[in-house]
Amino acid sequence: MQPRAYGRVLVVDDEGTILFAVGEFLARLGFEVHTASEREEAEALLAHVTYVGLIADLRLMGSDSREGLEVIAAGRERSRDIRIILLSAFTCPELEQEARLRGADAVLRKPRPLSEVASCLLDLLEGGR
Amino acid sequence: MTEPLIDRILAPGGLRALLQPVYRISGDDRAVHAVECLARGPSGSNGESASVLFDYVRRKREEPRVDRACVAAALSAVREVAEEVRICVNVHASTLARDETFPAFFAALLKACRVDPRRIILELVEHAPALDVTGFTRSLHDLRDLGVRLAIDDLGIGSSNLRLIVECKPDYVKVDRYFVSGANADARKRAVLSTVVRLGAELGAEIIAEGIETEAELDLVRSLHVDLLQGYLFCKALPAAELALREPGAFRVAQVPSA
Repeated sequence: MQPRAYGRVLVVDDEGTILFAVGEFLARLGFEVHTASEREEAEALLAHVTYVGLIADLRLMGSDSREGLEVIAAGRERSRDIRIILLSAFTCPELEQEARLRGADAVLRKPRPLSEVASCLLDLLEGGR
Repeated sequence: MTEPLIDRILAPGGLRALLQPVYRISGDDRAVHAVECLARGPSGSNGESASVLFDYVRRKREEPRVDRACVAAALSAVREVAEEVRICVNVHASTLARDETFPAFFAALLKACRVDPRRIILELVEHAPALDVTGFTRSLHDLRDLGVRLAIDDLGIGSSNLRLIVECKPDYVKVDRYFVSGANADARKRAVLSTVVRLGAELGAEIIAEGIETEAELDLVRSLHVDLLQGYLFCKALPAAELALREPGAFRVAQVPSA
């Protein structure tokens, strides 16, 4: 069966292995996957490329910062329609609330099976925000 | 942890320059007036797209370091370009404002690459909302002393183009492709275009229209007496070796040693 073409997705994480794994998984499902490991790289892509989905890790480049929130805010500013997932090893109701305020449609706690991340994205794309 | 894109950009061979001709049109004749050196980032990275590359660089505030790497890649790419062809290289206005040693670096690079500074057209790109005018003016003065010509790039886009025109007294003004694209069918774009042409004439600067993609756009800019043209209609940006095959007259003729 030919994979269905779902559109272009940006995955943002500072871990190369995670970028590779998520990217491969989504590509096999039929997404065109772009990856970025830094906030500025992700923001530059969001400014010049149109995406249907954005999956961003909270912490980028190994810092203690929460740059992922800036990335999702940039994604939401760029498009009302883009579906956005924030991944984080550290979640709490306050973070989830802030992430949703900045533009996230879903917040998923890591580690998480790739299939669940993909299912979440597909559900969001099919209308269930 | 992945290697940050900036490290890949600044690594040896991280940047390469493609060349796109700027033609001077006179009647039915067309000659290569200049080649613009257009930087591309590392293969397989997001920086392969020029718009993403420079947006990223500006967000990282790395314009000075990357501009140095870009001009080095540019001068390396034009080694075989004929002496009479001018060479356009792009530099952020913010680099000139923040890096007062850029003119000395550029002078040394030109000397090392044996490029006559008078062949250079330095295209100033401006995106920063505010410039350190003192540093910028000093750098401009030093570059002028070298003999390089100055161009304002992307006129109409950016933060302070008109101020830049006043302060740098450009030899050339490049109209952004936005105002050229489809201008034949858009009265507002035509109005901006003709105003910029008049402004250039009053300031003593030649106009370069970039982004010419159709015969209709060509006819329009020609009717406005713009003679310097660049765009896909003529030639896209190419590696030097490919451009040499397409425009052999713009390159040095290989010297056959006498017997």
